Amino acid sequence: MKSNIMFLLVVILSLAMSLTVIGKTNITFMVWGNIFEIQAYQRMVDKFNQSQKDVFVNLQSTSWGAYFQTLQNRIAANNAPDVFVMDGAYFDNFAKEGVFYNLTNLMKDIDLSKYYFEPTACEYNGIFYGAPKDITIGGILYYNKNLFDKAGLTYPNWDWTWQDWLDAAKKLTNIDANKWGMYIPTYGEGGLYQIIWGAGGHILNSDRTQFTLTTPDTLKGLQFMYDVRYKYYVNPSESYMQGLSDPFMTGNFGTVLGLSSSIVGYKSLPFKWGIAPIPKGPAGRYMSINQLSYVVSAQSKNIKADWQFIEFLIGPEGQKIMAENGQAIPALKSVVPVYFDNFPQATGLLDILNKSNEDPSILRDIPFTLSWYEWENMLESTLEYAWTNTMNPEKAASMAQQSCQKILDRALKQ
Amino acid sequence: MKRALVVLSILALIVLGSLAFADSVTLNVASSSSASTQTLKLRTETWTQYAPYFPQPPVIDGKINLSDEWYLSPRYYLGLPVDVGYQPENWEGQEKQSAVYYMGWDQNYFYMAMEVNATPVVQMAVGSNMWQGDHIELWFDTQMQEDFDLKQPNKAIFQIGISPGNFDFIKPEIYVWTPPVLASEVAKCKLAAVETSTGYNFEVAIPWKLLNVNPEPGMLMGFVVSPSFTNKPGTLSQDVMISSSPKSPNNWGNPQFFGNLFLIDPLNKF
Repeated sequence: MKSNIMFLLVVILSLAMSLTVIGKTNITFMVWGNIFEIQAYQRMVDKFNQSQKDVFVNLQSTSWGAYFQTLQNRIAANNAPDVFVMDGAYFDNFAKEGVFYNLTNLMKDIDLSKYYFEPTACEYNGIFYGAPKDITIGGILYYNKNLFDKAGLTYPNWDWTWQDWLDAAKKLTNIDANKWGMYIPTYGEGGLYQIIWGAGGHILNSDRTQFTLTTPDTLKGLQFMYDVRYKYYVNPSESYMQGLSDPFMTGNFGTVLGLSSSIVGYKSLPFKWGIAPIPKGPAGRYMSINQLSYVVSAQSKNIKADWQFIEFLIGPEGQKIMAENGQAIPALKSVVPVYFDNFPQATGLLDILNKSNEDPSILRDIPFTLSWYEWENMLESTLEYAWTNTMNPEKAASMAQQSCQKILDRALKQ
Repeated sequence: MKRALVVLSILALIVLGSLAFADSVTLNVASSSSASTQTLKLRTETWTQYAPYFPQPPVIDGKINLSDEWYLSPRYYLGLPVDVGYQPENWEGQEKQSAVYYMGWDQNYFYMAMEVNATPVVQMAVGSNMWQGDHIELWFDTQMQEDFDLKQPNKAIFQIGISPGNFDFIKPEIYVWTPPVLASEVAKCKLAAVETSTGYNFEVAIPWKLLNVNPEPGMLMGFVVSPSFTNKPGTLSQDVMISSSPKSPNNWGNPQFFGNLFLIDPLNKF
């Protein structure tokens, strides 16, 4: 009897909830993320729904690994989510295939000077398809204060050059004790791009149609990454440790280049740490800025409601919820300090962002192109020949140049 | 006569193993180190395989000598449609993508030999990226009894890649994706691969020390072996995987989908 009453109550409640949604414009919002990120999205959606009489947003989520396949399957089935989160890696390909709704007219009302805005992650062929969601800074220098203190070294700062970095790394390295002075990741955004830029080189030419991996300046950067492994032995070679996903967390590394998003995992590390800008190379100091965006499906029938929701997401209220959650740095500059309330050890990162407001040239965008994800994979895998000492950097770069160019040429011709 | 008895005892074990495929099983076995028996839990809905003790270690040179070196091992075949565990739509059939393998062990090493049909052999990557070319993936759950309900990798679960290289500038190599290990320990593995007219053969010896295992007859581990293939030369892509536990490739690192591996000593030579 009791269970029957409970059942009836559940039915009545469900009906009541359904009735509140009936009559509203329902839109679907698809995201990827871990449990904490999904919680933040849910809070944003709830807040928006509470404020709406005519629109109701349904949140749908997958893991990062399943996201783009799920998205492509839904697009093919003419069942695309109305609004979804987009990554720069796939942006150009999706835009070219006509997946996104053209937001150019709607974006006219947005003052982009108030945002960190990366055209490569939001525009294609001069048309706005994405609204700025958040940013990731790549190639920042994490350092272990305990190891620096023990070695009697001053912490890295804005005056540091590659030479200062190398000198400190030599003092911090004790191979027998498994202590290392530095680690430069070999994937593009984590360290490879920034080292090449600091040497004066580039991945691609200015119109992003030709790779420039074998130019003397690019090779200078690659040689530096090789030398710290096999000449100075301050950076463990790829063949030293296997299966290690994040060296900095071991506490055995004095300095590690990486992404700003890593600070989420570093929050409760059992040692003191800080963040500094990447040390200055022979041609200057450059870090990367990457961006996720909110896009609208070209299949959507509810453009007005979609845009209303996006305006909320990129507005102060939506951005503040994201900042408070601490999973991503909001794109809206005025809300950025809220994010850093979560991370008192990351003042060095806030410093980098503040400096970039004065001198935007220190942050460069990721060289996204059509089929970026394909050539980036080829680039990393082919340069790995150098990092494992299978061949020298010049030869590996030459192979990477040919293989990557083939992929890009094919993508541009299609 | 002695060899016939060995073969018969192995066949009997294989029959026992196939029973494990049908049902949930706990097994009472005599421990080699004491007179008592112990109860072992077996994974079900999967295969149980056997690695015999080798009184004489095989020479790791890529030349698989079945009459002298590997004769104690059952012959395991992967190449039936039911063996295809990952992206079956890309499987090019048993003549092009299949494998036969043999296993054994002694106090120092786990041994495996494999003849792989892979035409053509495609491998452009090295180190942790080898998964994007032709390679073999091995999983060991070395504390299966203690962690029987575990659903994700821990420090006792090893994912090991074996690449034949490209028979040019990329040498055969072993990479341990999980857990983190020193490469100097991995370097103690012995590996040799040779190109054949239909693919490649390899022999490998993996030190038990790398796996933190003290082997003994009757020991049971979680185990999967999955040959992985890349179909198109010049590409980085994992196109298809066949597997001794076909559900494993789509459930990365989940030991619930592993098979069972018994270390046996058919000649009582341990």
